[in-house]
Amino acid sequence: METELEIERLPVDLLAHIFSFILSFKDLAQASRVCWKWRRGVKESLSRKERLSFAGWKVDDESAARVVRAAYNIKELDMYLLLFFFFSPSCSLFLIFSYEILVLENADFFVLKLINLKLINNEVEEIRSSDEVEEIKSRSCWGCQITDEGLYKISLTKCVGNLLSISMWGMAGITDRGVIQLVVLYYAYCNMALAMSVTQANSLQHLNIGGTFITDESLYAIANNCPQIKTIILWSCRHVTENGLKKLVDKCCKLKSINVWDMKVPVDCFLRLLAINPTLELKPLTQHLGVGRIWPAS
Amino acid sequence: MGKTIKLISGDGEMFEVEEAVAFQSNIIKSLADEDNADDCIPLPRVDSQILSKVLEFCRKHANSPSVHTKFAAIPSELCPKHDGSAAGASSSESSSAHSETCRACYDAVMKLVQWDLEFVKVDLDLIHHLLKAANYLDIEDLMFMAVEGAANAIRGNNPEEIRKLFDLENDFTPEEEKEILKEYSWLDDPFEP
Repeated sequence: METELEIERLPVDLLAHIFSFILSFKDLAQASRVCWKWRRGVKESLSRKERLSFAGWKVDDESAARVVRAAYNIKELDMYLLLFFFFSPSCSLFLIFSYEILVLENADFFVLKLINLKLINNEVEEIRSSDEVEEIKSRSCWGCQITDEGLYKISLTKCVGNLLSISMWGMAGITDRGVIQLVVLYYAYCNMALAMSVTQANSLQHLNIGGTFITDESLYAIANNCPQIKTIILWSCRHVTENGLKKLVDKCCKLKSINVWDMKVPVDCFLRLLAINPTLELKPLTQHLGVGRIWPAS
Repeated sequence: MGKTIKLISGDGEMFEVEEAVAFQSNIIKSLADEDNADDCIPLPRVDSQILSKVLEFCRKHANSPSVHTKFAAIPSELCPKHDGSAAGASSSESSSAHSETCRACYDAVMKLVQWDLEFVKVDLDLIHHLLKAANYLDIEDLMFMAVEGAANAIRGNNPEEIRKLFDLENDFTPEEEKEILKEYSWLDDPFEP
C-alpha cells in the first residue's frame, strides 16, 4: 500500500507534459479552467508548445495575441487550415504555417504569419518574402474567390492530415466536388500517419460547410470518411435532402450537433433524425420542435 | 529461453521475466549490467499489482521497435513478413523505405498502437500509477502511452468533468472563476452565424 495519497497530485511539469499531447486549443482552455495548478500547467505547456492550432475559431486580435504571448516559444505552427468568418461580404481562406502573429490593422481578422503557403485564386503558392506578406496585409478581401479547385489543391498538401476543423462558410464557389476531394484525401492521409496518429487522433471533428452548394453527395462522403465528426454546420445548404442527412446521422455515431438553419428539408425529417439519434442537437431548431426533446440539460 | 531477470516488487513479490522484456526499462537494464550475484533486482517503489501491469506492457513491446517515441521505422529484420531475411541493409534509410512500403509492418504497428490505446483505457488511478512507474523505471513507450491515456481523459471534457475524473478541487473563488471563463470565451461557441 502506497504511503502517498491514492491519487497523488501530478506535479506541474508532468501536467505540462500531458498537456503537450493535447493539440486542440479548446481542450487546453478547458484544462486551464480546472484549478490553479492546472492553469499553471497549461501556461507552462503553452510556453513549451511547438504547435498551436486555432483551426476554425473566430478569434479576435486580443485573444490571439494573448495566446501567442503565452506560447512565446513557438518554433513552428503546424499546418492547420484556418478560416476566419465574420459577417462581411468577403470570406477569406488562409493556409497557415506559423510563427508570428500579424495583427492587421483595419481588419476583422488576423493572420498568423507563417512560413510558406498562401492560397489565392485557387493556386497554392509559396510566400517568398516578407514583402509579399506586406502585400497580403494590404489586401482586404483576399482569397474570396476560392472554389473547388482551390480545395483540391489544399487537399494535396500535408496539412490536411492534421486538421480537426474545417470551415468553408459562405464559400459560394465550393460544391460537392471540392468537399468530397478534401474529405476523402484527408481520410487517406490519416491512415498513413502510423504512430503519429496516436496522439493526434486525426479525425475531423468539426465541419462547417454552411452556405455552400453541396448536395447529399458530400454528406455521403463525410458519413463514410469522418467517423469522429462531432459537429457539422449545414446552414443554408439548400440542396441537401433528407437522404444525405439520414446517412450522416446513421453512420456518424459521435455526431452531437447539426446546424440546420435555412435548410430545405421538411420539419418531419428532423423528427426522423431525432428518432435515429435522440441526443442529437439540431440547432437552432430543437427547442421549437415541441416533441419534448429540448436542449440537453447541462 | 533467453536469459531471465528476477524482479522484486515493493511488496515482496518476485517476477521472473526475459531480458528483452525487462530491459525496456532503462533503469533495470543499467542495474542488471552491474555484476549482480543472483540477478535479483529490487524495485521497492513499485508494488506487485502495478509491476505486473508494467510487465504486461513490456511483454507486448519486447520485440517491437519503439514506435511511439522515435517513430522508428521497423527494420526489415523485425518485419513479420520478411521474418529474418534482412534483404536490405539495416541502415535507417532503407529501414524507413521498408516500412513505408511493407504492408505487414504497417499492420503490425497499427495493431500494436491499437493494443496500446486499449491498454491505457483504464481508470485514472491506474494511469497515475503507470505514470509514476514508467517515470521511475524509465520506460519510454509506457510513459508515452500513460501520458496519452491521461491526455485522452482530458480531451473533449469540460472542467467539471475533468475534476471528477482526476479527483480535483475547484480552488477558484467565484470572482476568479468568472474572469477565467471570460478569458477564452471565444472558444465556447464556434461558428454560430
